[in-house]
Order: sequence, then structure tokens, then C-alpha cells
Amino acid sequence: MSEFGRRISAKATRGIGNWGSTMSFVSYIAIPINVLVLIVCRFPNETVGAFQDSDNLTYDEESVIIQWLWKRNKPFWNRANMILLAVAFEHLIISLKIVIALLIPDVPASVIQAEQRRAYVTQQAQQEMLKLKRKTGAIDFEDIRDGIEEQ
Amino acid sequence: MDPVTAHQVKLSLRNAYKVQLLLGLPVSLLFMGLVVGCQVALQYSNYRLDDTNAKKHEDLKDLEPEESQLPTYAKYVPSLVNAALIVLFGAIYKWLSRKLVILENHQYEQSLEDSLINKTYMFNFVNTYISFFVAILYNQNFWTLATNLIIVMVFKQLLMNVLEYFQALILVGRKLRKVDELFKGEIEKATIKGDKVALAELKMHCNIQKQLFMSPDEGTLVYYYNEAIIQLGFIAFFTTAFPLAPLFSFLTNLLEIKIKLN
Repeated sequence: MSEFGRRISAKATRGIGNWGSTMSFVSYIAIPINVLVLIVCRFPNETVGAFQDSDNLTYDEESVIIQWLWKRNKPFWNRANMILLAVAFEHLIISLKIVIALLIPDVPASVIQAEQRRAYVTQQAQQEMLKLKRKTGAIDFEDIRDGIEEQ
Repeated sequence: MDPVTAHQVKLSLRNAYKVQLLLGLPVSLLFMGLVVGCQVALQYSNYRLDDTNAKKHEDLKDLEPEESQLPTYAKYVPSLVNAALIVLFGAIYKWLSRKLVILENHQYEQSLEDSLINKTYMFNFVNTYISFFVAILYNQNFWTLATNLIIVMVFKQLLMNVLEYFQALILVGRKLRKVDELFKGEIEKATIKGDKVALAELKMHCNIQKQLFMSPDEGTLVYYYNEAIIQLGFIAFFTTAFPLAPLFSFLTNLLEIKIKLN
């Protein structure tokens, strides 16, 4: 394709813009969707599962997770308890995600330190250059470098 | 003078937010409604077809069950139509969103890109995932969800890339070959003569002419990133229905890299 299309021109930007919040949205919304898939998606005998009476479904028509729960304790895992479990599980995962996000910083401490140090190093370098300029009478960086090389 | 960029501000600066709210949002919502409407129509026709078939099945009780059922390929038709609709609506909205953000007359390029990102992702979220939510909430069928995911992924990630490649090969490749033929004789002559300056000059002009015939770049990476985020959505949202989706995505991305580099 690179043979058939002009190369995109590079542009400097401050960051990824709204893609950061979009990715965060994807990561949060994925949790309830996955829980929904696990609880709602099953193996109905009809084309439209929503038209079936959800209280009178056979074991084979239920989702894998409900089949697994029924094997353990069928009377306890009625519709209301299953919805409660789904909501609790979803909230637990979201809380876990928030805790992990809080525990792991977006920018590592070493990078923050290096960025803070950069301003100091630049300042020191500028002072050093000024000193050398005064001392040697050099005009630009090239002159200073030549002077150091000669020394 | 603008305090942020230290450049002269646009003289005819209109209120981008107002245009965004009064024009961009309603048009985007209208398009999303169109997508939802198409999905409803698709599901309704599928249901009617199934219903008619069930009645026919009752009338033809003497027949074997296999004879009175819908053919196997008919099960995949809604997903295939849906995949085609995703591509069609996506292409129309891509053109429309670009026009809308230009009309909004943003002060900074960053705010223009942000507006384009919001519009593109919002629309593609509805356009791409609506059929999956229908499969989850309406059909409530694991197999329908898995089939839909496989078909949409193959259509979007494999067929569209291959199609794009062959389209470029036929439309642009033909023109590039003509340019090569045009310069071939002159380049051969310069090579025989050993005139290095003329050879370099001819090669440069050949490359310039080729660049002119090449398809122009889109000027933004928003659409590439959008494709990647939509793909991430397939994996993050519906992998439970098709656990091989991440591997498939990895392989199709490798193929895409290969196609784009060749």
C-alpha cells in the first residue's frame, strides 16, 4: 500500500487527545458487557430468546454459568439471586480496576525525577556555556567546542 | 493574537460549540437512528422469514424436518447483510464527519481532532456493536453472537483490507506502471551513456510524477486509531463468545502490516 499512497505528513502533538478517555470508556464498559454476555447469552431452541418465558427454561437452554450454578444449588439460584450476583460481580471488578489504576501511577517516579532534573541540568549547562564564552571569548557553541578540543 | 499559540486568530471565528451542538449532534444522532432502524428492519425480516418457515413446517408435517427447515446458509445472511451495512454506513459517516468538523470552524487543530474523534467513535460504536447487543438482549443466543462476531471480524479486518489492496493495485498501480513505462526508455539511454547526473534527474522526475498519481493521505490518523479501538472493543467486549478473537486480530494485523508495507 505504501507504493500506492502518499505518506502521511508527521505532526507533533501534546498527547493522544480524546483517545485516552475513549480507551478508558472501553475498559469500563467492557465489564458490564461481559457480565451481560455470561448471564444473558444462552442456547435457546427458538430464534428470538427474548420471547421465551425466562422462568420456565430447561437446563439445556440456560447459559453455561447458570448451568454451573444450578449444578451446585438449583433452588437458591433463582432469577433474582442471579441478577444480584451479576451486579455484585460487576461492581467488584470495577472496584478492583479502580484500585489497580490508583496503585499503578501513569508516569513512573524515575521519569518524573528525570523531567524535574532536566530543567536543572539545562540551567547548569547554560551557566557553564556562559562562563566558557566569557573566559575564551567564543561566539557560538562551535567555537567553545573547538576551544575545549584544543585544550 | 492568540495567547496559546502566539499566532493571529481567525478573523471570522464562529462559535464552534454552538455549531457542534445544533448541527453536529443532531446529524450524528439521525445517522445513529438510521443504523438502529436498519437493524430493526433486519431483525424483523429475519423473524418474519423464520415465522413463515415455521408455519410452512406445520403445513408440511409429512416432510422430513431437514427438508422443511431453512437452508444452512440462510442463518448467516443477516450477519453478512449487517457486516455490509457497517462498512456502508461507516464510509458515509466518515465523509460526513469530516464535513461537520470543518463547518464547526475550530480554533485549534487539537479541538478539531477531538471533535472528530468523538463523532467517529460515537457513531462507529453504535454502527458496529448494535448487532452484537441485539444478539445478546433480543436473540439471547450464544451461537448467534459468536457467528456475528466471526463474520463481522472477517469482513472488516480481512476482506476489507484485501479489497482495499486490490483496489489500489488496479486503480493506482495501473497509472504508476504507465509512468514507469514513460521513463523507462530515457533511463535506459542514460544508463548506457553512463550519465549519472541525467540518470539521477530522470529518477527524481519519475518519482515526482508517481507521487502525483498516488492516492493522497487522509491528513489525519483518527480513522486508523478508530479502527484499532473498534477492534479492541471486539476483543474486550465479546471474547467470551469467540475466545480466538484476539489471535484472529493479531493475525489480521500482521497481514495488514504486510499489505501496507508492500
